[in-house]
Amino acid sequence: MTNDASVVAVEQVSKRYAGNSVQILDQLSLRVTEGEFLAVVGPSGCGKTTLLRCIAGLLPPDSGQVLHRGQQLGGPPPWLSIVFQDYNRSLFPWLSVRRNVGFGLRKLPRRERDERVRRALAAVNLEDSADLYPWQLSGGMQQRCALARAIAASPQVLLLDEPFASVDAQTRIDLQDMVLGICRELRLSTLLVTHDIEEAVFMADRVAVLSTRPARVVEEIDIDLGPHRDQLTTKESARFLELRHRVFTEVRRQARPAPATAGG
Amino acid sequence: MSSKAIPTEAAQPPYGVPAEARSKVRSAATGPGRSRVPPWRTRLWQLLWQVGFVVVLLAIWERAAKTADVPYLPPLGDIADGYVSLFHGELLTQELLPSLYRVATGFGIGVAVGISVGLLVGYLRAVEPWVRPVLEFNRAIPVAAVLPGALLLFGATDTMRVLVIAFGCTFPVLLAAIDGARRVDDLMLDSARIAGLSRPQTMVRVVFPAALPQILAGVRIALGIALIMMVISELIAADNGIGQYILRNQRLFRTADVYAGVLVIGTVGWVFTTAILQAEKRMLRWHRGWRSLPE
Repeated sequence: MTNDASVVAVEQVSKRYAGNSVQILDQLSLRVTEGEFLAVVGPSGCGKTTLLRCIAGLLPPDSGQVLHRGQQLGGPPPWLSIVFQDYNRSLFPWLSVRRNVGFGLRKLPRRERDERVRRALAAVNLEDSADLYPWQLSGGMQQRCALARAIAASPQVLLLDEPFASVDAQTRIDLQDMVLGICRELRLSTLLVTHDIEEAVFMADRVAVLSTRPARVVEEIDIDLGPHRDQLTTKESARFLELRHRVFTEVRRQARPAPATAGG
Repeated sequence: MSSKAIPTEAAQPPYGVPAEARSKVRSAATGPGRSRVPPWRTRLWQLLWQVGFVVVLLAIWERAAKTADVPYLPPLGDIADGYVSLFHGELLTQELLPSLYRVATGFGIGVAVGISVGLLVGYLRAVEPWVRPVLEFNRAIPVAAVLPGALLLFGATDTMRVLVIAFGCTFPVLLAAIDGARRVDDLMLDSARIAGLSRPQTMVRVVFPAALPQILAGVRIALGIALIMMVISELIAADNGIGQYILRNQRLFRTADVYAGVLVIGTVGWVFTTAILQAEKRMLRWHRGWRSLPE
């Protein structure tokens, strides 16, 4: 339980909505270790996004603490990036794709900034669209733009808030492969919040299952599918189905009432 | 321009199609075959009708001026002389330029104050409900009503006129900026924080551009107020300016010059409005494209 190995350590974090007594997080503890891909799944509306905002440093916890490399910071650490679900609201519509990707790099000298933007766009295969505006792109391309913005900042930690929930099935599969490739290549420590159990098992090294509100981690399951995942062979393997079954059962058990459909 | 500005749903490309292919899709969707009459011909006809209408109106006026010998119907030639004389020589420097200086300075100050204070109040949401009633009440004051008070405080000076114009321009811009800043998406603000922007940087680089559509709507209202207040402030105790020129000629029963002054103000207003509309068109191209996005 040393903090050194954890890039992000969530310790006994509780959170209520201000002004009323709805508790969202209940003494939740979680850690992301160096280079790990952790997926967090849970029933709809259980507070996954709130957890992510706490981890990002966007929302202070009521009690407990979030440590980034052993330190408690007042805001988002500079080595952390996020991709939000809703690209239409997180990308800046008045900036071209290129300028969106370079948005957080103002402090760098111009040449280095251009180079980083170029590399990030190349990584998501979007070089040809650099001078278009985000709203001129399809949903999948916009989400790739958001991904490029996230990695252009050279992060060590990448947070993904249901990043594939707003795109069609085929695009989702392409994006999953793209994200996995990027995370491995850049050795990112990644935290994926999703309601898609198959996606969590397919992508992660470890899956944490949350309870219904107020959320706690009820189960952590190691996904021993090896570092290389393939949409066909991995998803057809007996081990994958077994793990998916386990996670699915656990999530179902948490969602006591009839299963809802909306994401949360 | 229209062939590449806004993607329609039909032209929305499949995932991964490169840019060149997409623009082809778009121009195919909006290309030839939609209208049978070439656009230049429609525009020419429209122009002919517009010019024709003006010519007819002027002809009626001229005919009336020739037949009826009344002072309020001066011949067009006299009005045109007065109009032209305001654009050169002494009348330009003594009447038109001082007016333009007042309107430009007052408008500029009002817009600048309105934008900066409005963005601040709208961004720091905690302050907003607290100051809002004061601002709403101030906006409800017809600006002309503050004129006597301003005359008392600052005297019949240029400062007074500029301040009155600025006062009138501030509130529509201010309230629009508050609204725009309040409506900035939380996710964009989160994105700015993650990107490491400080609060002032976020104001300039995120809140301001996001609020620009609302702000420019306020600016257009402010322009109208600025022109009105320019004239009114010059009707009271001024020794120059276009408003004063009109008033002076009215007292001398020089009807043609009175009308010429009014036409000059109309021209000034038209130039300003056109300039702002053009600027708006350029600055908000992204906004129209963004909002017309299907879904």
